[in-house]
Amino acid sequence: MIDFTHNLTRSELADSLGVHRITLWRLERAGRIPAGTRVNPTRTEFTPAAQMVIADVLRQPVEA
Amino acid sequence: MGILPTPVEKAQKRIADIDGRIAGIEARRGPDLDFDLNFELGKEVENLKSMRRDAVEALAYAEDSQAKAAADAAKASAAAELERYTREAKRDVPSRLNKIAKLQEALAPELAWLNAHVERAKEMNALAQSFGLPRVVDGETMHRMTPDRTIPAEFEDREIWRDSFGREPSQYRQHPETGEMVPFGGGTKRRERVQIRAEQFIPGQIPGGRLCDTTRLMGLRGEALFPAR
Repeated sequence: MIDFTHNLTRSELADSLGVHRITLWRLERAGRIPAGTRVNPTRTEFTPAAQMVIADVLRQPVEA
Repeated sequence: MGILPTPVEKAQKRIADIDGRIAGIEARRGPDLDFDLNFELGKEVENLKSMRRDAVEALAYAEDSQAKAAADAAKASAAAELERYTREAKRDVPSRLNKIAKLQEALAPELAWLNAHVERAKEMNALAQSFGLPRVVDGETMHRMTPDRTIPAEFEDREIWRDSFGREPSQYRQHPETGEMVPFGGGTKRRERVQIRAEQFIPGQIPGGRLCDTTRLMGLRGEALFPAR
């Protein structure tokens, strides 16, 4: 469960949303979700606002 | 199957939820409340306000994405339309052009015959005049010309003032009692039938003009088929 109170890394966010971090990376590259901020060469962080957008995009129900 | 919420709708709902929670907490807070609880609630409100700022930012991003997606879809649709048109130009037009050329080649002698027939009408009328016979009309006039038409005049019944000489007075005044406009010198008012539109005569005509005068046929290489140069 994401509480949208602090920044999360790509892996932490992926774990919280139940997807692979590469999935997030692909969506980011496709421009469907906001890009994270690269704080150092091995760490990319997402702000709470970005987390909300990503959660909305990923939790979009599939039309049955 | 209902309409699924879009990311924009979800973001709007999130903001509304946060606003509702803030309003609920603010309603609970008050001077009579325990200090620690009041402090805790204040902190919670601060957290929610911070979350609301993030939610507003998320909504702005979702709206931008939606607008961009709509613009991309419109562009893709336009590109598909252009592609269809280009395909039609490449695939269908050559056969249509050939068909048109064949039809024109078949039509040219027919028009030339009709033209010669119409031209002969002058000779025929000269012949008729020399022997005192009635004039003739060419076949195109006979079959295509619309008949003459007469639109009848229109009349209307109107109340008109007349003086003792039967003329229509030119100066009027308002009657002090009835308020009606009456002629200065007096007179009688009577109902007369007045023509409001004259009779109109519309002569017959060939709609669009003669075929030989208005039609121009040309081969695919620009060669004149009708009228022949």
